[in-house]
Amino acid sequence: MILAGPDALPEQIEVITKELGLDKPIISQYFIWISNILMGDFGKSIINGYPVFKLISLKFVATLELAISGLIISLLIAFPLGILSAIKRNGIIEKFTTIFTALGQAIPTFWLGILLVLVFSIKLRWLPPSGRIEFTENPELAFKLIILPAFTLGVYTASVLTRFLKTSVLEILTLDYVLTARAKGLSEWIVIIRHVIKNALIPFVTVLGLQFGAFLGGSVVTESIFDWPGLGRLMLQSIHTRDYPVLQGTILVVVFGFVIVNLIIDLLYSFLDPKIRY
Amino acid sequence: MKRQIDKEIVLSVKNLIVKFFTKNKVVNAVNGINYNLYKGEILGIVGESGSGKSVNVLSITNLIRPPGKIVEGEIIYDSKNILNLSSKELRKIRGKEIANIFQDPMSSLNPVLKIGTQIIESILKHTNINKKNSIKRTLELINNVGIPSAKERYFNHPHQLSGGMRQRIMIAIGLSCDPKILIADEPTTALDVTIQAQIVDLIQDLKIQYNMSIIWITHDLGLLAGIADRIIVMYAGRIMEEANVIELYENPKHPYTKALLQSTPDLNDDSEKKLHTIEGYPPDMTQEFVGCPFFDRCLYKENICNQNNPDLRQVNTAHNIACHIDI
Repeated sequence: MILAGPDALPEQIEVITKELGLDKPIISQYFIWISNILMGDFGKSIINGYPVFKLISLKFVATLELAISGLIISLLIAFPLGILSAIKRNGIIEKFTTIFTALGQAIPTFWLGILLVLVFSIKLRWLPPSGRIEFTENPELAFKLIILPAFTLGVYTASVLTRFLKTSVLEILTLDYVLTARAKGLSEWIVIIRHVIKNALIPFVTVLGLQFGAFLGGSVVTESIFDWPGLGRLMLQSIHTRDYPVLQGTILVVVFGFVIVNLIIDLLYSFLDPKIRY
Repeated sequence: MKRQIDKEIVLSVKNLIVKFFTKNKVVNAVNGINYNLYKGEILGIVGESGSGKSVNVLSITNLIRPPGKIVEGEIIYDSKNILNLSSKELRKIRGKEIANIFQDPMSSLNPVLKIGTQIIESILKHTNINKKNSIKRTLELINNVGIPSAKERYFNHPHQLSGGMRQRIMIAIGLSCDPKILIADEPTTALDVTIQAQIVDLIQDLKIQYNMSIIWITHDLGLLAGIADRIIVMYAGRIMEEANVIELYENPKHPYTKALLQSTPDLNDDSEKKLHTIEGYPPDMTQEFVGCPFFDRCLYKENICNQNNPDLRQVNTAHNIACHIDI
């Protein structure tokens, strides 16, 4: 109906229905879709006839780029804050961390994004407000373009990760093997780096994996604010236009990405925790 | 102290006071204790849970962590007060001069590091031995504490070892830099009896081999009887009695020690009589005592005991007690 338009003749609608296979039962439509996908055919957009797979792979690169940058930013924040605030308790760093984690989790992404654009693009004019270009085209501009969206995406995750890391470091510091390490006469930094951090990483990577998996799904809000051509916006557009093949394909890729990330995390465990061997 | 003049003092604890400052109360864990450790001896410290024995020995290398704090006292080692050393100087003593073995071998080793790494890091830290020879020394140590196929064990992680083996590894870590003093904080409590006996034998052998002094903490008086040269009995963060081992078992002077010895089951005793118990509970460590902390539970108490806290006094050359009463 939507495709054919309001003035369509019944014959036209019939033709389109047949062409799209909508006359078949839902179940068989679903199996047709699945068997096509298994053969590598994601179908075509019903809006512009563009192959879904090609569309998604274009957008996926953008999303992956943003996800990795967001992850790097959150790790850059979470690692020092989480560890230092656990070691130097009741200091300035810990107070700052408490405020940061509370705000980071409480501030809505859209508000933070808009605020960042307002300050850094409009007032200070340091960074461009939106858009994306390939790194190969103009590395400097591409870098400037990604900073704000990556930061917007990373802040929430950074605060989650910081809290998590702080708690596990605090817990590990009370354990017997840390006392053993101190009793050996090792310096506090060696104790932290060799004995505490590796143990703290085991629960940490679990949360990290979940967060990164969520990033891969594309952040609808962040991508919309910064006009970032990623999966999140593709999903949003296809919902608006009722472009079901694109929507289904996107969701499939997002879910698949999530599963893959978690598989990688599980493999990482065996590297971090000697008790786990596959 | 006048006795044992012929023996060299290696460590001297003077008026040690340790408190734990928790949110709404202060726990007086160790309340002014004095003792010496002589060269080549095994000094046993006994006491029930919460009597301050662990806190006492953790203080020796200043390993007390907040909220605990050493409020007062001196730990004299090598004519220096350990408590006044900078953290850098302190780290040169920890593990090298004075080594610790802790109670629970299950949790005292780092689960994610190889056994070899955990032993060798101490050697690399404290000695100038190069990496290759350090590995060799580590393998010797593993062998020396009675673990076969050292090479294989070097690359194992703690979870692949049994409790007894892990405690042997802890001992190997302790011995790695030829310490002068080994502090064993209930090293056999978490092990079953057969393994316990093996570990006790091992530490005794190694004491002679490495020429160390040992402070051995336990709540097992029977165990100490077989190994210690001298024994300190602690209660409520204080030393109640200090005597050489034969004297303490044959002629206990303090009511608390007497009661403790009476509550030890004797396997050769066939009579049906009930095991003796000490009435009452250990004291609340948040309170400050005017009198003797054992007052409430003591069978020999007199008026003075509740008014005046007894100092450690000498009863004979090898025997000190903190009690007003002569029994």
